[in-house]
Amino acid sequence: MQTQFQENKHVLVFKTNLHHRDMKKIEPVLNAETKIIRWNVDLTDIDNVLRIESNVPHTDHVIQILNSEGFICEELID
Amino acid sequence: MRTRDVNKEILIREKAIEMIVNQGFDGLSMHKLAKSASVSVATIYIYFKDREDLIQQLYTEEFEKMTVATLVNFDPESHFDEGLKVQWMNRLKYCLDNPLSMTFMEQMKHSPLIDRSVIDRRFIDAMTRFVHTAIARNELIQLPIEIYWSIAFAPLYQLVKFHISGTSMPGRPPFILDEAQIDQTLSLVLKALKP
Repeated sequence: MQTQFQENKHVLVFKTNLHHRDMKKIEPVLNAETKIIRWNVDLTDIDNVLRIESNVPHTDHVIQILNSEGFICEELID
Repeated sequence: MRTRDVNKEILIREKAIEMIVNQGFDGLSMHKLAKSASVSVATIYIYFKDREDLIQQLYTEEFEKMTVATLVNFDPESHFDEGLKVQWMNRLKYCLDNPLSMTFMEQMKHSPLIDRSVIDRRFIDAMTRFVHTAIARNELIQLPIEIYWSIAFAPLYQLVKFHISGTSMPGRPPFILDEAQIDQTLSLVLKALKP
């Protein structure tokens, strides 16, 4: 799902299988993405939601990144 | 593209408080919340970073509401007896108007999930000034804050709990709080806190 409530800011929400132990692995990968303003994973809820605030709605790109690191990543649709 | 929908956000907040009050912190999942607010899980994450952020935002907002309600017509420089009466009536009104918020705040009071360093200082500052002024004017004895609070406010909150839940001691009829009982209790509290 992508939503814009500020100019040029998109919130992208994904269901993943990320856990605590995976954070070290994906941190440098997501931090290296210059279009991502900030991101976090809600490890306290069952969907392990990856939430990304980004300059662009590059949903497919994010899914690709996570998949290539070996993780499941599906966009949560509104 | 969609824009931020304030009504949706308010509904999510209301349902979240309801869920925490009825089922505890562990009872709050984004899935259940989405269902009860008739929104998608994705929508909730638009407004809240994660579950912790949601709980923190709920607390901050409810604390703000409580602050505004308790400071109505309250003068921290007033005589202790008068000031405490205003505090009791304001807090009573807040609890009766917002029974869910009151229970929620009780649950949060001792929770490690909350960062209290970011909350509105107005309430704490006003109450601190009130107490220190009263002690300086010899209207109130000096006590450790926990003891002071337990005598000054816990009796009120206990009566409110009896009243809201409609229960009393086993075998007793439902308790209904009225102004005469408030005055009676308050005068006992003031007696206990007099130098």
